Amino acid sequence: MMVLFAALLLAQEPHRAPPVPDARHPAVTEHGATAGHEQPEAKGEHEGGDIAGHIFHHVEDEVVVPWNFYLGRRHIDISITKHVINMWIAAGILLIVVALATRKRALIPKGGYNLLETFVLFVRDEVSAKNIGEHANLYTPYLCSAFFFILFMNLCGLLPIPSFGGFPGISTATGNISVTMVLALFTFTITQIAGMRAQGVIGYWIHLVPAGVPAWLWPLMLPVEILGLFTKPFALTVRLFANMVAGHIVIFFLIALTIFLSVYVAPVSVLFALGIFMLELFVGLVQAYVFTMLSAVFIGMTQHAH
Amino acid sequence: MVAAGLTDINFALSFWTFVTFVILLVVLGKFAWGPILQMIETREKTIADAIESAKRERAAAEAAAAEMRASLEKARAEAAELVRKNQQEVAAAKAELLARAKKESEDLLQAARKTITEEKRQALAELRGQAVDIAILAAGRLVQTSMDQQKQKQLVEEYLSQLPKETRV
Repeated sequence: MMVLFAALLLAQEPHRAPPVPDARHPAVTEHGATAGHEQPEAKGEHEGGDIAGHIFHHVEDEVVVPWNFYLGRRHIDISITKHVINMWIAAGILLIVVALATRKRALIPKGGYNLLETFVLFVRDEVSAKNIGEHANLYTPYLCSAFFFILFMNLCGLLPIPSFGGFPGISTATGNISVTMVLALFTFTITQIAGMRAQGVIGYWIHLVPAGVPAWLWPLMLPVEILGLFTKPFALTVRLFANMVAGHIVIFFLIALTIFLSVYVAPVSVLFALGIFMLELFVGLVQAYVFTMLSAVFIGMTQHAH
Repeated sequence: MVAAGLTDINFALSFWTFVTFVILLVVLGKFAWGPILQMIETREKTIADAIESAKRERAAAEAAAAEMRASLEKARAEAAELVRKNQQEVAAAKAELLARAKKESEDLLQAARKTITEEKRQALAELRGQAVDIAILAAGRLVQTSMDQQKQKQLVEEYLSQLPKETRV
């Protein structure tokens, strides 16, 4: 995990311009969409492009509190962005909800604790135990944390709170590929550790290619299996990100129809947007479940040499 | 161009996601999932124990009921036996009592009969004596002889012994 971060750190250096210490919005200069939003007239874009830019601006990240420094000769940017704030809001709500519920835990569950426990029990029995098997208990806490963190980010992102004052407004943190990638990397790292724990360090890497594969197929199978290692977290990253961002864009475009077409389509577009919004509530839950489920499946796949 | 920003990897955001998720994993794992999973396990164990003990208690109760039924059956049989024996004893006692009463009455009858016979014999003897005396007196008057008492008595005795046997008792 740390190695991957180091790689990321190196990778970001070339294409990021040296910092402008007093720039309030470094991101503004970076993307055409954001710039388009800031100065629509100056750019002379046609109306549709402007609206699209406006919409994408909503689902994109932006720096709220810039925080750059040099570590030796390396420039490090850990600015607090809109999605960081939204992620913290979700994490804060999650902590408060869980703290309140957990305090009232009892042998005979009731109320909020009962609801929380239902989810935990579901993750333990249906997700963890069924996919991982023998050592499921080791991974249940991680799967619970991933499930609730993603669920709360997905649902908090649906709160329709616009930006005001210094607050950047509510937006879905899981609709950002940087967030979903890190979450997927956690699953990836834990999957590798789980595999090496179950089969031994050498055994795990030897069994990367399934036993029984003829020797002449190995040159073909080894690259495929190694590629397979990385396609799993990639799929997790893109699935969650794409699902969350797509719903928001659809909602925004449905509303934008009132500008594209006529103000008289408002009832229809609001109705459809409401429908998609309801769907998004469901998708938020389903995607949290899918991410957790697939994490458990990937961990489970490494538990036995196949 | 418009959507290009969406697929950029932003190091700052990734960094903060990493930090936030690590904190969440530690805090939630220690203070939420641990206690909750433990509570679930405790509950599962409690329920399993309760079912187990309920089964055990039910088996014990059934055994006790069976035992009670058996002892009740036994007591009933004993009571019936006792009644039967009692009836037998009563019947025996009754028979014995009856037999004894009959015997006693027979004894009594025999004794009475014996007494009567004896008394009759005595009465006859007495009667005979008196009759002799009366006869002597009567004969004395009739004969007016000077026979002494001894001689007269001898005569009568002779006479009486000559009487037919049937009159004697």
